Amino acid sequence: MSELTEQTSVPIKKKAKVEKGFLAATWGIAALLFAFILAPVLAVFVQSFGIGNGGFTFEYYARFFSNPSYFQALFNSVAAGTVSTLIILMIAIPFALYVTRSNTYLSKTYRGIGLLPLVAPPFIFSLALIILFGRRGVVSQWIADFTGIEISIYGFWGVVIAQILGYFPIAYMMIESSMRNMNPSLEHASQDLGAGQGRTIRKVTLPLAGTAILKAGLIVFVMALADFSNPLIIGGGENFLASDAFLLVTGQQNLEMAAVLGVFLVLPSFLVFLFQTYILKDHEVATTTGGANNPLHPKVKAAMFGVSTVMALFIVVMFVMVVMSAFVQIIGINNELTLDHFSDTSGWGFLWNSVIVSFFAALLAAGLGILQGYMTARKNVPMKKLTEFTALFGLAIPGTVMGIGYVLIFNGAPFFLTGTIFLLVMNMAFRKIGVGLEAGISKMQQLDVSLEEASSDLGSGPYHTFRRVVAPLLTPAFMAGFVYTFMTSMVSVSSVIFLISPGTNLAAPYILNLADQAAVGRASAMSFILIVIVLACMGLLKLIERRSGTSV
Amino acid sequence: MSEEPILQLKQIEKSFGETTVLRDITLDVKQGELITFIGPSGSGKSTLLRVVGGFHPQTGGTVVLGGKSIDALPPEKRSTGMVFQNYALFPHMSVYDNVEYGLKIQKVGKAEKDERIREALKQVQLDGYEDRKPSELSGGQQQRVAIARCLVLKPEVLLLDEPLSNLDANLRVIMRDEIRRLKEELNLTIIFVTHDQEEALSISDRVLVLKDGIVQQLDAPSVIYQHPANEFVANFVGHANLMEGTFKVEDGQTFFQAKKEEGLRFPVEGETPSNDSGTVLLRPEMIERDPESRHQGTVEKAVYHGNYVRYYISLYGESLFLDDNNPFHKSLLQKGEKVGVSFPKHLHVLPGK
Repeated sequence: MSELTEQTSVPIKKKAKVEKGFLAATWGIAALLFAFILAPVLAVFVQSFGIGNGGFTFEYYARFFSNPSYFQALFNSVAAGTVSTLIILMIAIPFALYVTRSNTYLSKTYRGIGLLPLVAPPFIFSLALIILFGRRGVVSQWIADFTGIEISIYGFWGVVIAQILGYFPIAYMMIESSMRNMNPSLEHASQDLGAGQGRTIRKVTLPLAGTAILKAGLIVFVMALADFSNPLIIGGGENFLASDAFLLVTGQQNLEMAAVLGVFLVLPSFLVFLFQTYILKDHEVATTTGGANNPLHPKVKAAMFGVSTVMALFIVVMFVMVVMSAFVQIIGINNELTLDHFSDTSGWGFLWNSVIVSFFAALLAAGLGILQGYMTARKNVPMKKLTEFTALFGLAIPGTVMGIGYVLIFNGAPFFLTGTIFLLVMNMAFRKIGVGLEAGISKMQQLDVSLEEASSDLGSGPYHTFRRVVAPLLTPAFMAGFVYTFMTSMVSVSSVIFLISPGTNLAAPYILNLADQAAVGRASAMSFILIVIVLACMGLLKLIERRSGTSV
Repeated sequence: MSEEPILQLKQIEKSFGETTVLRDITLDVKQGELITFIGPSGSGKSTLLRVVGGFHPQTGGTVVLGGKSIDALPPEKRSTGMVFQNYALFPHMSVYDNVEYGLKIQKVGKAEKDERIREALKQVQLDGYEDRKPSELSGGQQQRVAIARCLVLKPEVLLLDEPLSNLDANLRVIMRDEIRRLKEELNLTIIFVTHDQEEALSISDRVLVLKDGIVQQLDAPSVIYQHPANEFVANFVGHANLMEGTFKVEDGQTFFQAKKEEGLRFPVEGETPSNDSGTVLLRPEMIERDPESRHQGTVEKAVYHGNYVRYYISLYGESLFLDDNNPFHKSLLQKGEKVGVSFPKHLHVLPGK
């Protein structure tokens, strides 16, 4: 400690300086965020005006509004999104009320069922709907045999039903958690003041959950609006924004028109993102945890239970159909048990690709995200706000837009990166890095600064403190971010489908392709394996949660 | 002072942006001395401690430790040991690993390391707890680990930031004695931050009273209590009746004459201020119940505390409070009853404003 004492009269700086290593890490992460999140989105904007292919023009926008099929795509996407969102909210609210107000095995089972769609690829319900109601579907056949009427699920309403099932858990999760954390004494007070249960729910419970419901509705809406795989599989040729954009890129190489569609996809997401980041953030109702929620009156409960049961059964039937169809020859036609659908060697190869890509993406997303989270919470690094904004925005960008952006930037010179495992990893990692970042920031906010000060006081330098004190305490957050990114990467389709090549195909896009070609058995078998893997990850996450005693 | 002080603060200034939190603070701490920083919240006492620890580098002035300026040193290069209010034990490490932490950084050899850890844990009476995790310890035990973790590094000065505030009342007294014992046994130099005036008086060699970042008084506890430098100190450390008045000599006897009331006049001894007027300090225990006294007041309020009764009285229109100690076998006076009081002969007069 004596070698530094000569420098007695160094001017004392006002702000603590940031160590070189952390500074370098920040710049590195910022550069990556720019390259793999911002630049692709900007590229889509630029391309939609024809820049890079001739010069600035509104021609493509003019074409968008003059060509009825594009306009139809916009209309269909918005309409499907609106209808799905409204129906989802109408189911999710009673479902959440039922689950949070009953403490039975049945209600816990319903909760699990409500969340089940999260573990499946986003198009699983299209697949299941085709199995049931497709041209050779189990139910369609049955109806045709008895009545002679041919029904078909393909089209707008098929997409809506698939979206309702697929996006339900997201809304349900958010509404349920807000209702679970609500202070029960507010409802007690309402009832004590003479309000009946119906009135209490309308006047107290729902307004308190209002922010969560609004948030859930907005998120579901932008997700459904940007839905890519359901329109592709079950849309029956109807125009939708995301699937049309994909077909424009792969079928017609028309990147400009695809970019215009991309702009219409990304703008609503961006607005909703801004709205919930800056306006809804401070509107969370202060709630306290603990305390049992009010039980429901039998009549109210019966109604909630009815809605929940219909939804839960519907979800279960869908999953059962996919599992069954994985293990029989041709479901509904030849119900002989078989494992043939699992002997798809290229499928197994792509599954292995998915595991590898998702693993490294998760490592990157969780590692860099949490490091940046630590620096954002503790170090006086530059561009904090911007990096956090970009990382979180990355979560909100529709996959299709990211995919088009990546194609625009990385397809040609000087990168030639499309079709490489590297680009797939970067794409998945940076779409999810916001999760790691948020986990890191929130964990650091729980940790008292005095731990790091104590370490420093005991003679430890900043890097040693990070390694020995901060990093071990951030491990649960890292694991949570890792497992989450891994899970979501395994089933993600809409972005990577632009970036795969025949050699580097992934499981989820491969299944999508199978489903598109009505290879239902093999699609079901691959989906089944994917679901098993993701479920195993969920189990791992729960285990980590229990071990570390923290909610992750 | 013959001995060179171990720690010197010279004209310390500290501001956060526009707000100045410490002004011109100068202090010499001797080896083996325990100094308490006391003040209300926002007085800057914790900030001053953190200036010494290196967590909030000062904006002006110099900190000298062991004869050398440590201004340019980050916390990890300073031989100061800090015990945090919440202890800041590393939750993922055992007691042993926590205490070992600093020694490992200093690359102390295995044999010496084990010996020093064993000794440090013994000093805080925690031998046998090596393998426990902090979460398995009581508050008092966590406190001891936090102290051992510093002691093992043999810091030149130990910094304690409100270390007892998270403990319950009984444990607080026990740990207070424990810290005092360690200080005597190991000849430790300690700076202790607290907002509890009783704690400050009972544990310290000297007390530094801070208000708004300015030193109000730096003295031994008895001087702080009996001879406060100003009204703030008089009121912050202990309770006080402050009475303005003048000193007059009649027939060779000096009298104190209260400014407000003609009748409130009593004989005093000792030195009187040069201008014959000032504010005198009457601690509630200095005023005695005396039925014979010619000063007869009226009880306004009586509050029973067990070991004493505090009476709020009005006397010649002046409001005073006094503590009637050892209330056993004495009648408790009720509101409205007459009470005779007598005043002490030796008074502390606050220095003029």
